[in-house]
Amino acid sequence: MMSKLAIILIIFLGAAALIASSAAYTVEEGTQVILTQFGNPVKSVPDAGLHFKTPFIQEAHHLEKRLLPWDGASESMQTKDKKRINIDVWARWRIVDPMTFFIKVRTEQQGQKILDNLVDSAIQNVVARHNLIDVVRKSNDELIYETEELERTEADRVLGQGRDDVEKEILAGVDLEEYGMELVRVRIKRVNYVASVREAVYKRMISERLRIARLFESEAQEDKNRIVGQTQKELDQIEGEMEQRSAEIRGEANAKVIQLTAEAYSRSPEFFEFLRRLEVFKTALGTDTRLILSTESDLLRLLKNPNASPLPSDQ
Amino acid sequence: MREVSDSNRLILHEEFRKMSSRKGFSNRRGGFGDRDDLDWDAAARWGRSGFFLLPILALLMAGWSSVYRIEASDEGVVLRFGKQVTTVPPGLHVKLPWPIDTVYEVPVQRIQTLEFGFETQRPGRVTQYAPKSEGDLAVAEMLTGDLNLGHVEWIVQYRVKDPLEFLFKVGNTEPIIGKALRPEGGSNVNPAVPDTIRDVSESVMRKLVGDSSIDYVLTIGREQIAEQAETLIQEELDSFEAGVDIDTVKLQTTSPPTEAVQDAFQEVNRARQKKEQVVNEALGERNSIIPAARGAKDQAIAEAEGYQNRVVLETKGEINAFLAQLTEYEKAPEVTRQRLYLEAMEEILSQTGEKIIIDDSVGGLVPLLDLNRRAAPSPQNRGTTSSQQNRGERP
Repeated sequence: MMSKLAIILIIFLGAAALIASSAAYTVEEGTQVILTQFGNPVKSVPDAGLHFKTPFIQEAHHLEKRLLPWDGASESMQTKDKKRINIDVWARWRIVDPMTFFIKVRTEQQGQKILDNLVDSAIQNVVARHNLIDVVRKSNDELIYETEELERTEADRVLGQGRDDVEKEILAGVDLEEYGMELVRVRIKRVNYVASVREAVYKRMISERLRIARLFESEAQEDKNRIVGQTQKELDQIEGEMEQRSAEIRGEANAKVIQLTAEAYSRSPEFFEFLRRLEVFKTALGTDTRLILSTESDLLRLLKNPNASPLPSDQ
Repeated sequence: MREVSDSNRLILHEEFRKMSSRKGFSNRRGGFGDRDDLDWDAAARWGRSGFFLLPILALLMAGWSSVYRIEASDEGVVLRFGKQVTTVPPGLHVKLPWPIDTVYEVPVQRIQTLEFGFETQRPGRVTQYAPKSEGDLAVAEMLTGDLNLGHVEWIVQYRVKDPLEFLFKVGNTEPIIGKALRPEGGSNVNPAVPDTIRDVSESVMRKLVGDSSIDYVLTIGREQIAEQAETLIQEELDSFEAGVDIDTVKLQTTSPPTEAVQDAFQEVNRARQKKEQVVNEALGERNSIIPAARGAKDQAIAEAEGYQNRVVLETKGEINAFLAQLTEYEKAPEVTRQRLYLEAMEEILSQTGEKIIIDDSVGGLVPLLDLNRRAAPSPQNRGTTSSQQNRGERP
């Protein structure tokens, strides 16, 4: 009898548990629930915790409340300036109106599919309206180079905010309101040339660098020549100054000599001349001089005639 | 360890549930089937064999699932019927049994690293890196502001700063409904967050590199780019309420896109250094020449000045000598003059090598007196002409 009672009890408890498990449901943090009655959505439950519904009749459908990712495939497309690029974009979205979302989209995967279509076409539209530079840059700020030789300002100008604008335009181009979804952010993840163009870019980069290398080489020669020339110039200047200065000093010295002697000798030019002549004779006539003297000369007159006047006749 | 015990616990729960429902069902069937026989003995036998152990087992399990441990660097987030009620620090804790309470263990202090463009295979004293895959290259290759291509590898390190935001603000579409939140513990609590950090980091890094020159990315701008990236990534993640704190962003390898391009960049460096070398050599040459020339100049000038001093002094000396002589001469001009003349003649005649004295009365060129030796015949007028020349030199 005891066992029979126990079995009845167990059956009762099982039934109660079955009803309870159908009546109670939990909503976890980060999720929300849509209650449906015979398939029709009747209530949205946004708050986490333990909730109750009509057992067996109502059904709870869980939906994400959190920010959800979307990552598009890398798409090849053409920019306004006819450059072919691969572009890879990600987005973040969330379910803002769970009721609408449940009716029109139902699951998050379906939501992704909607984004696939809408965002991809929005990207195509926006990219086709912009030049490549708008997708790459976000400002017209001067680019900083290691050497000024590389600085060329012929680069294309960015329209407005460049990449930021492109992202905003894509975001604005996707309207998800009717799906109960909100597109929170669109960002360009990757932009790159298509493979065939990439090779050409590598080649261009190489030639650009080699051009600079050659420039450096010829500049080296230029600088060297300039330094050598400058050195020669300074050298000439120094030597010129040297010649000039020493000539001036020597000239001054000689002038001083002339001035001094002129002053002194003008007191008796006749005596000076006399002394000088004697000096000249002394220095000019040496051991290698052959002297032919006449007995008629003043000096030797006495040799012939002791009575001759001892004084030179020409004085 | 912890993850294992968690999943064990889950499995046991599952087993228990399956077991109890199966027994209950077979019991019911047994009951219906035995309505005619009323084989109560069999039921009793069966009950004795273990039926009454089940509630005890259930109690044990409930007790066991109520005790849990939070690791030292983690924080526990407790949910009651899915609603967050409290967070608990590391240590041993008690909760209401499953399915009432669930606990997420979030590593709040652990710094986690995301690698971009490369993959560490085995960290260690000599860290091993995985060979670069297509995916790595796609992450690392990016357009620069001058429409060149660069190769940039970087890391992002982050920590969980708000476990609630970390768990419940950013989601993932892969495991949805019921599976989305699983108390797994460990670093994989909410994989949507690192995915989001990856996405944000890639777009931020490209945005910064896309607004820089290739030179800036490769050399001078590395630190600045990393710094700005950290700020921008943090801002974006905060706007998503991802609940993480970006600790560091560091650029690793930054290089030209291919080997060949890299060589060309090296060529520029080489040429630049060569240029410096050539210029330095020329300057060295110049530095060795110019000071020597300056020295030579100073020397020449000093010599000229020396000459100046010397000739002026000499002249002054001569003048003084002359003036002294003049004073004496003026006292007795005729005699002095004669004396000076004769003294000079004496000196001259004594030092000249060859002297020929001719006399008019002798006639012709016959020498009268040869003082030293026999001389060769010479024209008579030679002496006079030389004497005239001498006179002509002095005014």
